[in-house]
Amino acid sequence: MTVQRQYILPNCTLLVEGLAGADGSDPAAPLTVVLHAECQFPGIVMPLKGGREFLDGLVQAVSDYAQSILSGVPNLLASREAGSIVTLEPNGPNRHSVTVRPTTDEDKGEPQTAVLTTVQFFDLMEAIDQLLADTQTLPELSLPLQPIPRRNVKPPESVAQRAAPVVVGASTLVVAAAALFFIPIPDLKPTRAPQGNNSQRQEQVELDGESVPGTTAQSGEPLESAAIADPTDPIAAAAALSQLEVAAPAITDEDTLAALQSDLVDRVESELDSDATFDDRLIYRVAVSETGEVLGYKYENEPALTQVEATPLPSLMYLPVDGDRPLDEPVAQFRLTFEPDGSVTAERVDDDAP
Amino acid sequence: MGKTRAGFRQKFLNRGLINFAGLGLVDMQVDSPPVPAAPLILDTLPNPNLPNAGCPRRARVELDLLLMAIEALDVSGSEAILQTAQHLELQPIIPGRVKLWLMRGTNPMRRYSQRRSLSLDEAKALTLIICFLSKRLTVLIRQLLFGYQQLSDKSLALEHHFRLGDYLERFRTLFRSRMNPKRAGVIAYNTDEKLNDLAITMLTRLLFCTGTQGPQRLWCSLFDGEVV
Repeated sequence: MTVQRQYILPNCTLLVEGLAGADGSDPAAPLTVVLHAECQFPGIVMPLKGGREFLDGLVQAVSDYAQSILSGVPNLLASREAGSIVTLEPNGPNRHSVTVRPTTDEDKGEPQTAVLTTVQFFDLMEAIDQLLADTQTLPELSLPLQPIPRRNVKPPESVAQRAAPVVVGASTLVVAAAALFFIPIPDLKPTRAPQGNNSQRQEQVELDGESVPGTTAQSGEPLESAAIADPTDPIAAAAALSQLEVAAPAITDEDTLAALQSDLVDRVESELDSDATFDDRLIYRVAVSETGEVLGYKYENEPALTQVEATPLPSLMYLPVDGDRPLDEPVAQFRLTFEPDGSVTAERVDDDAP
Repeated sequence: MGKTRAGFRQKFLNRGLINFAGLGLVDMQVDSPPVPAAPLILDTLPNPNLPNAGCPRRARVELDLLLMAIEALDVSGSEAILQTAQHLELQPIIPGRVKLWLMRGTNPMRRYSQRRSLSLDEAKALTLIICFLSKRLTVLIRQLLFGYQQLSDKSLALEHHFRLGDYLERFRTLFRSRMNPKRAGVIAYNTDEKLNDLAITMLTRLLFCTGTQGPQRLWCSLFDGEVV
């Protein structure tokens, strides 16, 4: 029994003609064999028509194309598919052209084409959806809905565009390497770490402090800072001297030494009260700079420590402006002796035998 | 009445047909509120084979923009979205306005964009709501697209169609007020013409959502180029 089914929408009419049931006796049997299918659009004279192959191709092509409209992602596989006789492609901003190639058995020669508006295409899709939802017509026909896999999507940028950053990066590296090749490698000179110096000096001070009885209690204090804070303190002055012993080079020129020696005696005597007397001999070791400044002094015997206020040494002591920086100017060391009668003598101290 | 019921229960208990204690229902400890089952309507949309959980970026943008197009078509659109959620029994997923706002905020183009991703169930709920509302607006959508077709064929300005001009203006206003103008994706729509094109694209997509298989088609298209 020949059955006709029509899916009528405002802008598209889909007509499917076929046989219902195997024997044709049951009027409620579903349409299973398609003899003829036809799509009519108002305003388009020639309807698109064909057999089962046309209908299958139409379902697939319309479904794929509708999906690409919805997602905006073109399907590479669908456009390449040569097997389908129905192809759909955009034609201008709002037009979609349908092309139906002639099948080999019909052999009509000319392909059928129709240019649809978006609304017309939607009605075609809706007609097909209604056909698929209709259990009375072609129940075995199902909607082939699948998201497009990643590999079938054309990447948004071409291979050349994607490779460009890598190429630019690599060539920049090459250029930079070539430029740096001509720059000589700087030779690194090992410098003495200032931190190491400090600790060494500190150790020296502590050792010196311990060698004198009665000062051991103070030897643990940070002597360096005390030396800057109070130049009149004999302990601090001793620390300054110790610093000099470690850091400063000795003056070796004989003439300079002699001049400094007499200069030191003159300066101390001029500062000393003329009628000053001492109970004992006071012996100090004094460091003098090239310009004659007293940079540090140290008691050599016990009375020298107790009676240091009576000598002019604290007032002659030169206070460095920048206390943290170790002095590195050359110094000369003298042993200064105040006799009980008030006379002053100075003699050279050798580095080897202090 | 109560007596009869008690009598029935006693009878069943005696027969051993209903043994509450045996089922452990009597002294069952409830530590957490019962997990609300996902609405059955979501099962009409299949789970895509995604490489990682949560919706891809394009799907989040798409869903938000389609909802925005509905709001531009219908002045009371945002209210209608919530009513539809209630109508489709999607309250377990969209209990209220704040949740809806959070879900739409997963669109990375938004000013107040959320860092979290959109779960598949949430995306399904939005898809169903979009299709339901677009079906209600079918006549208007077709009229606007038909008018757009005629105007663009004659190369006339789109504002000649009063209703279309209204839609485009509302869409542009909504887009500019909600999207972060510093994002690269938003800068691409810096002129009225580009925004009009986007609005027409969204209108066309809404038309395809109105069909019989609208939800399935929209859902499938969200993951184009994302599945493995």
